[in-house]
Amino acid sequence: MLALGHVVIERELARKGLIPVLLFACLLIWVAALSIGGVDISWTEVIAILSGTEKGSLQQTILWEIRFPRVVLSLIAGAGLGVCGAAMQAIFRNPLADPGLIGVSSGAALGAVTVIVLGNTLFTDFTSTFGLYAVPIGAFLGCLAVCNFIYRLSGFSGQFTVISLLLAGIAVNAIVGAFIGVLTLISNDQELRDLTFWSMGSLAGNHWALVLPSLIAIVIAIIGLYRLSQPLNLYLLGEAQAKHLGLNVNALKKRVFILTALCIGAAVAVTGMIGFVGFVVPHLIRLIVGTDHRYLMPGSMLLGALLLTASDLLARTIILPAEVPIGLITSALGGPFFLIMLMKTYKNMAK
Amino acid sequence: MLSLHNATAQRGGNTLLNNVSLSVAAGECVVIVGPNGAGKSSALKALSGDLTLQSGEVHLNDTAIDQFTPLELAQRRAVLTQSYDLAFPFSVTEVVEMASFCHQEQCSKQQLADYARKAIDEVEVNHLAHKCFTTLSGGEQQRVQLARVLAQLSPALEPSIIAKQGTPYLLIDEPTSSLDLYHQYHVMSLARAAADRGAGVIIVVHDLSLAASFADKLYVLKSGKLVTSGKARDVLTSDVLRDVYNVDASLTLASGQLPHLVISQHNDCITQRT
Repeated sequence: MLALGHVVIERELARKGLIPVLLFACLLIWVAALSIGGVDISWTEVIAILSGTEKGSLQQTILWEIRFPRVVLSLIAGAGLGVCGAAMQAIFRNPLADPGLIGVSSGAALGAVTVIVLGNTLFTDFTSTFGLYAVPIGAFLGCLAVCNFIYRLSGFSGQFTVISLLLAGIAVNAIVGAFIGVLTLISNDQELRDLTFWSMGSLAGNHWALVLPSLIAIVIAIIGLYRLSQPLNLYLLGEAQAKHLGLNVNALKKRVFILTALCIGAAVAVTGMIGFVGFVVPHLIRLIVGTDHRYLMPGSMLLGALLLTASDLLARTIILPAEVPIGLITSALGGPFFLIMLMKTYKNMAK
Repeated sequence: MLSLHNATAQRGGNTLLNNVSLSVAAGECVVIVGPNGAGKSSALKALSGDLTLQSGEVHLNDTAIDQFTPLELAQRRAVLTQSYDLAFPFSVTEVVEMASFCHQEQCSKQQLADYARKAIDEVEVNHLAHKCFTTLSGGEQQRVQLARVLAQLSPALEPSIIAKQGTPYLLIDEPTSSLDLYHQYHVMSLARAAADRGAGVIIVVHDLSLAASFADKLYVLKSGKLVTSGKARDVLTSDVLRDVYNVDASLTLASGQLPHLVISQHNDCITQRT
């Protein structure tokens, strides 16, 4: 039905080789992202600073306080987006699904924007109580609300039909867009500036205190979703078939939605909307190692980390000293990829 | 014993099953036949625990079927449905090995791989083992799914497991619909062989010749009601065939041949050529 590589290549070799190759690439991009930037730090210096032999210099401050949290964030958030994309594509049994397309990301965005704009006026104690974590909590709640809505929608008909879900995604995106529009209208200058930059997605200005809780949430979600690899394989056979094979299908759906909400909520809160990573990454990995989630999940995790870190490196160096919002880069790369896949799908259907 | 007691099921104002009772015991191969919309698939769904009944009960080895978790049910019965919507490129071996999921605690990985390989052998799809499932023809896909279902049933047929959790069951809906002549009979004899090894097998088929050839017991359904049941030669009489299918036909039972259906030339369903 859908445009996928209809060839089973030398899977054994690809499955054994992919993880080490990706790990090595991640290591390279990690060092590169630490060393390249407004202030260049050579990789020998990077190693010296990391091993603790060089102390007190400007370079050390830049590395520890600015670049290191940012690179760790991009690695982990990328990994989370990749894994969530794979999980969403499985749960909707459609390789074109993506947390962005079905409205999950925008739910998180609405939660976050609500907190940015109304946080101080509506709930007087909210921002002061939760401080830095107010936006992540808002994003998580918004995300969970949308997931819950989609889950209920699927409950009415007894199963997910892909079309109705994508349509529901369009509706959710439109409604959320309207709410965010209203919030934008009533925001003051500072709030407007905050939310504009936030909504384009940025990995900048994140320090350890802000990043850490989100990172923990994303890591928990990644581990949780990875452990669902085998059930997700079964689920792809069809809902009735998966049940006959001994899978508690409703429990699986619930778990995937909660973990995805946790991961996307945490990621969107600290990075803003970063589209298409969750769509492109599992697609590419599937071409190499096939659909088995026990291989697809770790592959998507590593490639997601790699892709987001590379995009972020590009975003902050391409027009130095200014920065391109990273969401623009991933969308510029992912949008055309999505269109190609869509066209391929319809070509295959026409055959 | 897997049984349906006075089952009635309705959906959207239609009565799918109307007070139907049927059962299958260990070592038995039971076939359900009937015209389109007779409730054959609904009866099978009720037996596999997929259909909510308005009244009536389903029992598997003396326990109500809703007392089992999905995992416990999967360890005790395997189901082959009519249609599958697998759109992702799994290889044939991967599809068959999914049967291992419910037996992971009872069996070693090596044993489970052996069961899968044996099922692939039995269904004669070895030559497809490394191919991508979505590229296969309809008939090939059907046989691969049968291999998966047999691989799920096999561990439960081991004497030690039967002693622990009782008879396992095999439920098959229309296994022969897109198969060629050879594979129609091959698939039915595989189901028969599972019954000979101790399973209770229940199959829905349209082809009455196939049904008569392999069934220990036939159930004939029409409009959600049970018309009659028993041995093929007692059940598939000309009267019943006319009553249920509105076709003038009879079953021939010659020695040295499998039973088959002979259809009269003068039938309402046949437009006479002039």
